[in-house]
Amino acid sequence: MRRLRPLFLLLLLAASWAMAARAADIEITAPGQQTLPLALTRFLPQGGAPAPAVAEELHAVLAADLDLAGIFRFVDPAAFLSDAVQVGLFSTQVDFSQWRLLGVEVLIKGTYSVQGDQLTVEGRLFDVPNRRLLTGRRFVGRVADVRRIAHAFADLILKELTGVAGPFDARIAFISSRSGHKELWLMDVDGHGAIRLTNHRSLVLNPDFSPTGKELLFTSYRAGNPDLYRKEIFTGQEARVSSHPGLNIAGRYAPDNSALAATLSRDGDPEIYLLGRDGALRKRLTSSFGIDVDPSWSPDGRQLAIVSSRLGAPQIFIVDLNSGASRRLTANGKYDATPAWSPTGERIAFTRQEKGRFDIYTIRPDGSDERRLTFGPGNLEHPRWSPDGRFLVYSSDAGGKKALYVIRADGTGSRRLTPPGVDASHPAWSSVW
Amino acid sequence: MSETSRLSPRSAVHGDPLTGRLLVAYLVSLLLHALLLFGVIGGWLGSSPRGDKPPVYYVDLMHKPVLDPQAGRPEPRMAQPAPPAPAPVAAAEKAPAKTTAPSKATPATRAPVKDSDRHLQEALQRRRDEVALQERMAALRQAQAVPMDVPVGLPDARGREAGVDPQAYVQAAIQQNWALSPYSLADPAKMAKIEAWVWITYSKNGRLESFRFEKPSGDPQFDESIKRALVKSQQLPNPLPVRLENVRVIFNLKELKTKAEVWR
Repeated sequence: MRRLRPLFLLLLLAASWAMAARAADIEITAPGQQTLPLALTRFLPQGGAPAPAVAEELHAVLAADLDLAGIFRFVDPAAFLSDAVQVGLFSTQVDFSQWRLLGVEVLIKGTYSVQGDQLTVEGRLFDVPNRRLLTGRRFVGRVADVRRIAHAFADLILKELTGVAGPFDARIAFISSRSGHKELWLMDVDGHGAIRLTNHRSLVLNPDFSPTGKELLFTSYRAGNPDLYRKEIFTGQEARVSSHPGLNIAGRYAPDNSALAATLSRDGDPEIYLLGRDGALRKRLTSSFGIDVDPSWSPDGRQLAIVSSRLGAPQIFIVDLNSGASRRLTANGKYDATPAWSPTGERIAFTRQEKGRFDIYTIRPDGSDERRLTFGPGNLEHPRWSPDGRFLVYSSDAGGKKALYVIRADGTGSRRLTPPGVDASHPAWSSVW
Repeated sequence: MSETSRLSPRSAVHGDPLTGRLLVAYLVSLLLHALLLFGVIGGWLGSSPRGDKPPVYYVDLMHKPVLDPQAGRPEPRMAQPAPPAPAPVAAAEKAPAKTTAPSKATPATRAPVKDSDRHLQEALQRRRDEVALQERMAALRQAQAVPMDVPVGLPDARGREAGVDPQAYVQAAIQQNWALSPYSLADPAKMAKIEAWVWITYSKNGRLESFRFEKPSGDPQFDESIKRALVKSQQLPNPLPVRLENVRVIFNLKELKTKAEVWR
C-alpha cells in the first residue's frame, strides 16, 4: 500500500493540474448581437440607361424580404461611404475597410441593366470581415419580373447565410370575393400581383398546392355539391376529382404527390379518406362517431393530423396511415381546428377558440411544448406553413374583412399581406416557384 | 461660612480665593470657547480647495470587465503643472531689490534704476502685475489639479491596479463582436447542445496571433459566425497585461436555448 502512495499523489497532482487547466477556458454562452449587421446598397445601372424605378423596386422588395427573415439588422444607409455608389461585383472591387468601419458583417451590392424589355440583374453578397464573396448570381428576365428577381435573390441570400433557401420566390393561393363570388386567387408572398384563377361564380374553398407547386386542389360548389377540383396553374386546365354525395372537402396532396387525403361524407358523417390523384377511392382512414375533417400530412407521409369531435369538442388527433391507429394530440383547449404540419416535421400549427376568438398555436407532434403564437385581435385562422418552415400565413378579421397576414414561426414579425378593403382567407403557400 | 455665602456675588467682590478661582475658570472657559468659535469660523472662511480631494467617480461599464479601472474617469489624469518660468524682466527687476550690485547679464534692469522716465515705470508696473497674475494662476491650477493618489474609477481602486483578468477582457471583446441570429442556424432545434471549441493566442499588445478550431460545432452557420467574430477581434482596443497563449474558447448558445425551442 505504501508503494502506491506516490502514485496516488501523482494522480492527485495530475487531477488538480487538469482542473486548473480547465479553469483557464473562456466560455461565451451567447452572441453579443443576435442579428447580422447588413448593408443593403442600391443597385447601380451598368451598361444601359438608368432606370430608377427598377432600382427602387429591387431595393424595396429585397429589404422587405430580408427584414421579414428576422436575421438582419440594417445599417442606416445615411452612414454609407463612397463605396456604396461604386460598382463592386468582385471582392477586389469592394472597399471592405469602409464597411468594417460601419460594423457591417454582410454586404449586398448589385447592378442592373435595362435593354428594351429585358432586365439583367447582378446581385452579390459579401462577407465583410473575411473580405470575400459569399454568393452571387445573374438574373435575366423581363422588366416586369423585377419583383420576382428580387425575391429569388433574397432566397439565395438566405440559402447562403442559413443553409436553407428562403420561401419568397413562391406564391400564395387564397380565397377572395373581390370579384363578387368566393373564387380562388393567387399572389406573390408579399401580397403583390394578385390574379384570379377560377370563375365558378359559386363558392370556392380550401386550396392546397401540389408538392410541385404547379397545381391546386380546392373545393367548389360549382355543381351544387361541395366537390373536389384540381387545377393546373399554367395551362388553366381544371378537373373535378371527387364528387361523391355529400361533402368532398379539405383535400390535401401527399408529400410525395402520390395520393390525396380528403374529407368525404359519402357514408354518413364526415370521415377522412385516402384518394388517388385521379380521385379514385383507396382507403377510409377514420371511422368514428364524430366529425373527422381537415387532414394535414406529416412530411414523411406516414401520418395525418386531423380534427375530430369523437370525444365531444373538436380536438387535434394524429392518425397513423399504416395501422389506422389514432391518438389525441391537443388536450388543453375546448375547440381546436385546422392543423398544419410544418415541412420540417417538428411542429403542428392549429387554431384554438378561447373566449369566442380564434388564435394560432403550435405544438410538437408528440403533444409536448404547446405554444400560443398570437394574441388577437380578431379571429386568427387557417394557419399554413411556408415551404421552409420559417413562416406562417393565416387569415385575420381584426379589421372587419378577413385579410392575410404572415408571421415568423415563433410568433414575431406579423405583417399584413393583402390590402385593406378586400377580403382574403384560406391561404396556402406554394413551394418555390 | 455657609456654602451659599461663598458663592454669592458679594463674596467675589470681596476677593474670596474660591470665588477667584471660579472666576478664572470661567474666563478660561470663555477664552477657549471663543478660540474654538474663531477657529471654526476662520477655518470655514479660509478653507482652500488645495487640500481637498475631488469626488470619486464610479463608472460601471454595463457590468463588463474593464482592463483599466480608470477608464471611466471623466477627466484625464493631470500631472502637477510646472510653475511658469519667470520672465527675464521680472527676474531682473527683483534682483536689484536683493542686491545692489548691477548685473551685466540684464542690461534692461538698469533702466528703472538710472532712468526716472514715467512711461517706463508704468510699463514695468504692468509687467510686475502680469507676473503676479501668472503666479496666482499657476497656484490656482495647482490647487485644482487632481492629485495622483486620489481613488478613481472603481470605488476601492487607486489608479494603479493592473485591471481585471485579461481572459475576461478577451471574452467580453469577442462576445461583443459575435453576431449570430438564432434564425440562421441550420438546425435551430439543436441550439441547446451546439458548441464549438477554439484555441486562440493573443499577443501582449492585444493582437490575435492565431486561432484554431479544436471541435467545430458541425453547423456551418455557427462556425462561420465564430470565424467572423474572431477576425473582427483580431486587434483588441487595449493591450493585454500578459500574453494569452493557447487559451481555449468555448462557444455555445446556452443562454438562447429558450428561443431555440420556439423556433420551428
